[in-house]
Amino acid sequence: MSFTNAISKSLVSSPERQKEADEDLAVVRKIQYGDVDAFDSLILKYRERVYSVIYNLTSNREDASDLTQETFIKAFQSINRFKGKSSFFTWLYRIALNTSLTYLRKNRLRRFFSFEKMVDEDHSEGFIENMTADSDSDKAALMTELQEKLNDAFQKLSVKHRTVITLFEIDGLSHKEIAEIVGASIGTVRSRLHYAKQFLQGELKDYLR
Amino acid sequence: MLFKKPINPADDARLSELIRLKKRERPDEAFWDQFDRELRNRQLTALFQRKSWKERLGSMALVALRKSAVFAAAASVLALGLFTAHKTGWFPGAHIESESQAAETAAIPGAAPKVDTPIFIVEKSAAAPGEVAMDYSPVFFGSPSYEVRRITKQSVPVSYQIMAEPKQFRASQPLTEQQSLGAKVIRTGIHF
Repeated sequence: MSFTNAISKSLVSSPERQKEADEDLAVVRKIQYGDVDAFDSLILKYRERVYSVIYNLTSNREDASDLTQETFIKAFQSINRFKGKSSFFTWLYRIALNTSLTYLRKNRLRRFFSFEKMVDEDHSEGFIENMTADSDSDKAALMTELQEKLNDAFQKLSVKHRTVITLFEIDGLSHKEIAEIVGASIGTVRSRLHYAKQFLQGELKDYLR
Repeated sequence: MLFKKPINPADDARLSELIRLKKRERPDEAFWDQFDRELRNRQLTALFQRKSWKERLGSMALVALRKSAVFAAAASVLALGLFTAHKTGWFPGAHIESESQAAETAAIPGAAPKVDTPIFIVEKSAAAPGEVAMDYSPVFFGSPSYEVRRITKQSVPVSYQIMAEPKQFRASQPLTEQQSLGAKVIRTGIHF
């Protein structure tokens, strides 16, 4: 096992993540040796997750699309500098976050939202089932209202808190993985998460009864 | 304080459930088709795009600065040293080049001189401490040169200014060669 593989092993939390990290590293090595097309598989694998994180940070689908592309372009351009000290996924997420944060900082005064449609899933969670009204139109209206309220509450959070809650609750990452991505301690991540949840509870209290 | 409040586990679970609804905010297939096309174009552009020499130089400098503050400091000192050496005429032929540049500047009608105030050099042995009446504001310009901005006959300069090797001074008014300022002016020009 190479030195960098050993390092990246220590940084990955679960066996599944480890397997994923090893596979990604193999692809990265191929790209570094000149197989540029191999990058497509990484795009295909991560585009939805990266998009989701950026979308939840910006609440704007056009911006999210543009920033996701920018993230992959930056990753593509810097792939030769990727040494495997972290997993590719962590590295890619860091690029995505930095790209988004730079954008949000530059455009904080002239931002507007444009939401994705909520996909109606068959295996609806109990939450929706309990909340929704009888007719489909009422249900759709309620969903729209809920989506707006949810996004509004998200955007009231600071970017740091929004990042942590997005990565934890929506992307399902562990505290340790989030700490690696945002470059903070696990304690800081927990603290941010706690604060973000308290804030959202206050903002969304009408929907939590 | 907000941080101190515990979160009710039942509320926490419901909140998590509510937040996870955001997972449903997903683009459709048409979006991804367009995304792939646009990304492919941008990727190709990035692949074949060559940065201009200014951008490359900028990137290299940025990387160098990030990697080593010492390197940056050394580069600054070197640049300052070269600049100083050039200004003080330490390089053989530097005076000739500068004078020819000055002549070129003067030959262009309406062209502003590169240095507003004339510069002159005094002979090292001509002036003795206390004999020359000067009022000056010495400005450290980089070893071994000092600048004197104004010369009048009001006060006495400190000795090392005049007794050292020929120095480069800056006067507030035009001077001529051989003019006596206590020390004989041996060279003048708008810059060297």
